[in-house]
Amino acid sequence: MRSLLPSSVRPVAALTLAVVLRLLREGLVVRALAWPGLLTSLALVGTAAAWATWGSAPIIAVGSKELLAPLQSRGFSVELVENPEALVSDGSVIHAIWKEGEHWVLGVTWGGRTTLEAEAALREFAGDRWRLEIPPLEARPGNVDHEAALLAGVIGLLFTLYGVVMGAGTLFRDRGNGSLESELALPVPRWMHAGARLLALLLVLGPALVVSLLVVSALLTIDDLHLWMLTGTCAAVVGGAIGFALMARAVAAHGFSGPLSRALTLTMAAMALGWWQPALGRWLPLVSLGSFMAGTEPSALIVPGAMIAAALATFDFSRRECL
Amino acid sequence: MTPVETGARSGRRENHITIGWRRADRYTRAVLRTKDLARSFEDESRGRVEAVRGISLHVVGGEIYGLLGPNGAGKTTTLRMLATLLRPDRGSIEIDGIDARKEPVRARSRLAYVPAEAGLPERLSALETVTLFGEIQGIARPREHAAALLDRLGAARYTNSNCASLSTGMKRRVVLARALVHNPPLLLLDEPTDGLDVAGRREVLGLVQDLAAEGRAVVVSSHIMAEVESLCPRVGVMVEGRIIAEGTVKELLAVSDTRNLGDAFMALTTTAR
Repeated sequence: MRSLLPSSVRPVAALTLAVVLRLLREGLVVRALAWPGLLTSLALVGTAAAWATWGSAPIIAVGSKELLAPLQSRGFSVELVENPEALVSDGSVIHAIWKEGEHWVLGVTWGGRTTLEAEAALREFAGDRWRLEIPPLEARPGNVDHEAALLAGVIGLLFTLYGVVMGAGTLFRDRGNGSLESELALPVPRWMHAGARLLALLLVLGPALVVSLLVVSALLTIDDLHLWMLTGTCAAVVGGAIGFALMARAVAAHGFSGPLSRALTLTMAAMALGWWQPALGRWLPLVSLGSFMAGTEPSALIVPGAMIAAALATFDFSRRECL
Repeated sequence: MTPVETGARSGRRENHITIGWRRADRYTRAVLRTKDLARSFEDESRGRVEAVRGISLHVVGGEIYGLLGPNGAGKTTTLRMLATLLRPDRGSIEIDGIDARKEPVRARSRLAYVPAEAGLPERLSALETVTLFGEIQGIARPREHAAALLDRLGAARYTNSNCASLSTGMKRRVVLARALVHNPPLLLLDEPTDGLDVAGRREVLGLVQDLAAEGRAVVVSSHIMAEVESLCPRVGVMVEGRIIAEGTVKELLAVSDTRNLGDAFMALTTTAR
């Protein structure tokens, strides 16, 4: 295998392999692989719990038989009780309707769309002059697809944060224990040390992200899976490059948390920018993860964008003494 | 590589005449030459700090040169410049005939640098660590070479041990093996016995002497007088970025009119300040 590589590539391959081995042996990536399954399971359990709690038809306690049919036709579960006002007062039900003289009263303990719908039904039943028009719910992009896409975005975010931590961490640790100094004294250009670390990040985080998304997609089908893989991988590499570059720019006395927090802030800001201005995410890696979560698909240009970001971090490192 | 091969490869041999140091009869080729080397740093509290102020060195193959100085004297900065890790503000560095400022990558292939806190990558074994360096240095059959080197340095039992689990002394051996994997003619050691117990210190010093006996030029920085006295035929006393005195231990004692290197060091540094 070694003999197949040109001599100029061998040092990069050797350095990359060493970083990959260390990252894998640390177990962080393996642990990272457990997260998607856990997140998906939690999302499923959460959905089931939410459905069990709020998913069934809302119950309205009424004191008059005549209300049963009109409310049931609107999808409410109606219960005929003797004193609906007392029930809503002690919190036993959320909605209750009763009559006070000539007037119908809708008592509620908690607002929301259901309350508005109940009011609209009551006004219509009572033949009120003023009716409540409730606009229909905006159609979601798909049904469960929206939640699955959100989950894919969260996994991409998770791996991007891993990228930031690993990018900053590998440099900080090697600088702290003195092994970076020994490595920099090797007869290879400095950019190779940075390039190898970022390449190792790609080789470790890329496949791990792909596997994670495949696991989630097996449980909740993710539309545009390949795009999520691409967007997440590019974001993880750019996150790693940001973490690495900011750690390289900080002197050793600045410690770990200062540069790391700056890198995390910058990374989250870029993603928030994508969420806020989705058009930007079509072209820019990392920003594209936020945009994609907001519904705008990225273009293929994020790949060269991520390569440029990694190259900039590498170039910046090669100009610094970094001791 | 034998000393003879080292000389043949560079294609140059020259007579170096310096009064008062033990002349290496067999190895007189200058492996390290610096002239007027200087470096300053910007410090947040102290402003511009001149860490090294015009150092000129001449070390030949087979010689162990001791750089002696208190903390903050500029020893580490000097070694880092020699290892091409720091760019000098001015001055020249020639390593085995190569201009290290113009061709730092080529110069690095002729030297081994062992920093004071030379750490080993966690989660790699001793063998993997040395093999990695051999691979990057372009050594043929790096794994076999690394295993042989570890064996020679007395670390054969620990080849497959995780570097993080090694004792300080054993780590030093692995660090030395890693540095020597490409058989360089110049060895730069920054505080090589730092953190070692008496036995470990003795072993490392013995190793350094063996390596010099093979024809390598060795530059050792230290602030431990006894160590420098026993190891280094020639010593440079460094204070505040300058070499204030240079010569054999005997010469330094004579110049300072003292009986041991510790007293000589105190006398010389007090005068210099």
